[in-house]
Amino acid sequence: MSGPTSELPLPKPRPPSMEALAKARAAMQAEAATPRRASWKAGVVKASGTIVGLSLAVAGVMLAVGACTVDFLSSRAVTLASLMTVGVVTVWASLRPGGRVGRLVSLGLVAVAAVLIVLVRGAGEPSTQPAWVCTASHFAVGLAPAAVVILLLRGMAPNRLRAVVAGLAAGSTGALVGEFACAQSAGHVAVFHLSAWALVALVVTFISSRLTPRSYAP
Amino acid sequence: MERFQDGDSRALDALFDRHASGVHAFLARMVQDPTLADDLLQTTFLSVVRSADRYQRGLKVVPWLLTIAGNAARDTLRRKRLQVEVMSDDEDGALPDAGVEPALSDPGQRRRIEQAFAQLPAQQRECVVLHKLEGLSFEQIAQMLDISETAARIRAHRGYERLRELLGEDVS
Repeated sequence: MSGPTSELPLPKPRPPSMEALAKARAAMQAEAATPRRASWKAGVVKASGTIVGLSLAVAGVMLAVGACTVDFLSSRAVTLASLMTVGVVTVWASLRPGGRVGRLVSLGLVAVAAVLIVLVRGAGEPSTQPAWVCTASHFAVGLAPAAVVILLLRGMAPNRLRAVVAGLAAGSTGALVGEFACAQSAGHVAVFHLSAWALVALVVTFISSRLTPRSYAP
Repeated sequence: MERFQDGDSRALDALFDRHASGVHAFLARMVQDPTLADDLLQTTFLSVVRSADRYQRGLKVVPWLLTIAGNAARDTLRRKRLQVEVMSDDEDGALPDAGVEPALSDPGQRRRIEQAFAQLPAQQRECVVLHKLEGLSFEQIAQMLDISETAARIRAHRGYERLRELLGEDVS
């Protein structure tokens, strides 16, 4: 493993000591002897499953207690499908090796979905609950998938764009719940739903930047 | 690497034998600290084992290893807020023009270049090392660092400019 060195005549750094090499080799072999960890694809399934599964569980509970109806959910089919697609795509984009372009594209998809859930809402209906309840509940629902993606992000090199996209994936859970449970206006969605989504992304980005990764692979 | 992915544990030893010294040299240039480079060598190969599934078949192994090493070095420097200490230059002798390649046999010139190199910001130093010393293209560097090709070119260009400035200032 050597490259052209003629144009920058730097002296060769001191080679690693035998002791350092032996230590690194022993650590590597010990790690290799432990059971193989789940692949990044399994991580995508896990995180996507958490987002979609949690959203469906919330929908199921709401249907069961009569907080929403099948007709209401059917009327939101486009936004629900869009948000679920965005959730899965952003999880995949954030966890796959390499793929900077994919992450940028997924950011674009998030933007489109965010605009969509605002524009299709229209005038909406008044609610008896304070508006901030949506923000708080969406944020709370997003914490479980946020924890999952934070743990998965530890298995790869720290990368802010990756963390933001993973955070937006986790935050899409709250946005999905907002489509099940909230009938308020477009302005309400723009302020109180999207802020919860952004807040989850911020939390994931902040916490993942503080944790020491278990691997530095791209 | 592909053999290791397929479960051949001896392939890992072969990978280590073949690339450990090169990875260490890259790390030593990145962090300017041989002891820290020793630790990062271990971190790099631990990452290889832990993230073997993240290696994409068909990719060249060396850029992948250097990407891991570079990520580990950058993150460690960031966390430790490591300030690279530059040895003071006690010599007052004039330096040659930076555009002229100095003789490798001259230890004084070597040391001045090394000191100038150590003063580069870590991002610029990394791009210069990858481009000039490891012989990677800007496209490869961009992929490794998860930045655009233009950004990789700019970082390396600024690194070269800074080297010229540092060596030129010494001349004056």
